[in-house]
Amino acid sequence: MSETTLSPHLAHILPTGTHPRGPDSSPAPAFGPHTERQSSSVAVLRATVGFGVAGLSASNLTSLTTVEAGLLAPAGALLLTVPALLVVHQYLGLLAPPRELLHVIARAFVRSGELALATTPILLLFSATSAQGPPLFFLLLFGNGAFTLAGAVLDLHSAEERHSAGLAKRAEMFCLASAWAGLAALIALRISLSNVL
Amino acid sequence: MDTLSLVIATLRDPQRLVNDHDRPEAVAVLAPRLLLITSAGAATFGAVVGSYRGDLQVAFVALKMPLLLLVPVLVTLPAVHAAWRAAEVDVSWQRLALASLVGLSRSAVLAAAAAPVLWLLYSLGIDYHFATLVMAAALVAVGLPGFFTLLGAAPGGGRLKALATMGCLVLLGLSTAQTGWLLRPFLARPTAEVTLLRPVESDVFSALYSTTRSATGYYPGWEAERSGHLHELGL
Repeated sequence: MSETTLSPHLAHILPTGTHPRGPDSSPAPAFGPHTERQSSSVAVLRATVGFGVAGLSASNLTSLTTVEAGLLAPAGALLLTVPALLVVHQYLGLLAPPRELLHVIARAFVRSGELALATTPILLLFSATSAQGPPLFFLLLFGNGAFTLAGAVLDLHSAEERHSAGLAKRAEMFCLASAWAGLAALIALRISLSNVL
Repeated sequence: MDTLSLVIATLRDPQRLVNDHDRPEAVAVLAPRLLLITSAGAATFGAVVGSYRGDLQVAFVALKMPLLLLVPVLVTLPAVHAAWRAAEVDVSWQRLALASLVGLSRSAVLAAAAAPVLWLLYSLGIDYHFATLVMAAALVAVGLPGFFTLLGAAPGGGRLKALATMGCLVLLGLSTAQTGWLLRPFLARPTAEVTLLRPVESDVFSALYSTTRSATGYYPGWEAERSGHLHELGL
């Protein structure tokens, strides 16, 4: 993500201090850190609810497997992989502040949750009229995850780019972010499968 | 702008129409007329599709065809909005709704224009399966210009926008397929009963799977089973 393309609806997730701004961008909004933290928490909560609602809309009336998978797969994958990402990032001596990486990942989670919530009408159409609600939910969850992880990899690379001048460091970050995304996807898949089987 | 000018504008320069009327009051004025154009165009196309079987089927399909265009867009629009937001392409709901309506009316008018070709083929007494394929091909052919109109609503830039757009196209295709399945019959087999709607049973994917197996020469038979929340609730 370039510095000037950060959209306003995502801007509140980034703290003012680390918000990447272009030279001609408007000044930071005059919210205190407490308000920013609150709005970030609300965004993360909304995303979590989005996953749950999408799972609920795809479930059949006797089983809540999709709700569990919808809530556990993304949250579990991030909880298990983000610390590893931060540790290896520091171990490799890369320069982007860990706080900025956390914000990139939080933003990816919020985007993913919003996307999951937005697919609810489609899931409702299928679960109300056929038995294809749960399979479609897992397909959409997979597509949603792949899309947001790909975006997160690019954002993590951009975050490093803002702090590292060397090509080697940026290449290392790209490899690290790609490996992290692959690991997160595999863990999310494993959690989803344990709910299905 | 009178209705005829609106139809011409949706065909000639839909993007300009969207750009020029991207204001709440303009959308409020245009929306009912665009819905009317969509309904009229789709109903014309539907009447011709129904003429394959004739009788009441003409009216039934004319009633259902506008829904086949409108319901999938209505169901998919939130996902399109969210996918573009995730790709960092900001489009207002108002602009997205206007672009959808313009795209739908464009597709519907093109469908009405394609109706005589369809009628000519149907009047020659072509095979039921071929008639179905021709109808599906015509719908895809007129649907794509409408989809491109919707795409034009999004500003340039963003990241992974092409991927988000492909995803939206897949979701729209899935929703259209299931909506079409729910609203069947459109053509009605020569031996089938003429009816407005068949019971909600099975889904489009199992029907396609069965058709594929039949096409490869394996005829295991297909029992459409009722499922889904509507069935569980006894509806």
